[in-house]
Amino acid sequence: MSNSFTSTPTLVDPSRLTAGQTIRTTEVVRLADLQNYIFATGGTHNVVSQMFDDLCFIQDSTTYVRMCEWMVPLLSKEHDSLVINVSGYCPTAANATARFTLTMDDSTTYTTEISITDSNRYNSVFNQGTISITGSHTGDTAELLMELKAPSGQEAVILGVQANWQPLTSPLSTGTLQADTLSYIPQGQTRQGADKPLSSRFGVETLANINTLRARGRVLLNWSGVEGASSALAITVAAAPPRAIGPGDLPTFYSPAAVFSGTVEEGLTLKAYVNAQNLGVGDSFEFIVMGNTLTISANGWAEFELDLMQDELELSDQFGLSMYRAGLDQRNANINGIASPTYPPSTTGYVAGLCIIGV
Amino acid sequence: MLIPSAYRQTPSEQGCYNGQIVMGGALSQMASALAQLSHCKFLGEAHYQVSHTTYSTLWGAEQFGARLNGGTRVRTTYKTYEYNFLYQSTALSERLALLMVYGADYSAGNVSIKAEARATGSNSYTGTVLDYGIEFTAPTYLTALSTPLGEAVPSDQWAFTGCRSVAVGNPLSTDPLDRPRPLVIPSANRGELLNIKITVNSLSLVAVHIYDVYQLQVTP
Repeated sequence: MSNSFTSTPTLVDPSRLTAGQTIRTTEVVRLADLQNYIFATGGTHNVVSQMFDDLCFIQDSTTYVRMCEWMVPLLSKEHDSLVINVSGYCPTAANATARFTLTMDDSTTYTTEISITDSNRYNSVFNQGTISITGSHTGDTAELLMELKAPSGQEAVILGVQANWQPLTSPLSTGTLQADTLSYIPQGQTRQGADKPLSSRFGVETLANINTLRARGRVLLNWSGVEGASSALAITVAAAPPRAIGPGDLPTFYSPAAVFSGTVEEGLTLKAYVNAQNLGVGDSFEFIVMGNTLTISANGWAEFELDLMQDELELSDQFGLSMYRAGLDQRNANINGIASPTYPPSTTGYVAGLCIIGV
Repeated sequence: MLIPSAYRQTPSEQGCYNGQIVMGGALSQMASALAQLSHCKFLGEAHYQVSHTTYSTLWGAEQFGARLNGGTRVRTTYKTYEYNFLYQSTALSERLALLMVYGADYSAGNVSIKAEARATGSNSYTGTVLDYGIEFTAPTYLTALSTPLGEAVPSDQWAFTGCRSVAVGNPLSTDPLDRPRPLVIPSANRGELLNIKITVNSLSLVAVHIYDVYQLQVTP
């Protein structure tokens, strides 16, 4: 009983699912195939996507320095390989090294180190590493930390970071598969054959699987500031990357992203994750994301559920989907707050990372 | 088959129990819900913010705000200036729409954005060209101001390929590049890690959003 699937998946012929038609095994087999495909591949596109201009994200320390943090969604317990690609360079034969650490909800950590082999900007290749999760963990997100060090007397420059979960291959594992607290039951293809009855089990499990897959997160925005940049070059040309959201960011600091009708009715929620820094005891600040006022009162990552209270973007017509502004709002509270020059990160609490995960 | 974009209500679980007559409508709803997931919700997308130096003669290096004073600094080095955006495609990445945020300075020279799709064999930036791509030029497709301030700070603008299905002029031709349209990915490369190479002239790139194009109707 193979839990196999095809890629590209084959859809069901809708003309075979109307009144007066018998239910053929062909349609049932395709339904089983399609849900297995979605479980294996859904959400395995980019979860981290960030680009840096030359000499911005730079490091001359010979020991690891914490520089970026992102929040990434966990797809299921079967998706246990996070592939990370780094574009960067170091003008020497001795490689610079980036270290990535994934911290799970229970504080278990997994690490990979990536050597950066290019010697100048986009000279030849990007470099790849994989974080492999070996244990079983709860939670639907994990924190991804990036550290960087350079060889002695040299400086390492990062140009881009991209990460995605490795899609599963066919067939899926046997037994019930877990996605945080939800379950997915793979559909065996031989059970759907012409000599088998169409069981109640198939219908009930398919409906449960649809609900599990609808709840799977997808990244709408994932941004990290850069901490601890350091260079021997003058500050006018190097080592001044943004480490906080601030002046000039509000007009376009968002992703036009689809949010599907029925999200609220299905009890699904969008979430924002905010990494705040430099808050003193008793300090707090507010800012507005997708029409929601978020109150930040502690350093580190905080999670917020977002109500959908925005108007659609005009881009919806072009995409054929309901597109929304997933990011910061251009409102007075933000203009006069986190994006105001009067609140520099050197003296006040600031937003060092923002992630929005939709469904 | 029509691909719904909404989370429609699924059929009742009780309707699938033993002793119930399963109607075609129940299976049709399941098929529709699964098609929404595979061909709409889980289409690929990537949202790149491009971080620039925050140094300002006004307030030094406070390191806040990627774009100063509501605008993006167009540096003198942004001439034939290349970026490589890595994109993990899906099996359904037939066409890729690009939506970009930029600031452009006409006085710095001819303003343009070129975009092409490449494979990433051996992690190379110079992998096989999959689509030689497109070019946005000013003033037809880009808004560029003439601000003779040296390294100018124009306000952010948007450039978009659109999502429409446009016949490709010649995906294996370098001259002339097509006018803006979604990039086309050959079927053999869908599901692979792709390199969206973007080259800018007299223009500062602030964000690049990459989308698999949603298709309302797919033939089973």
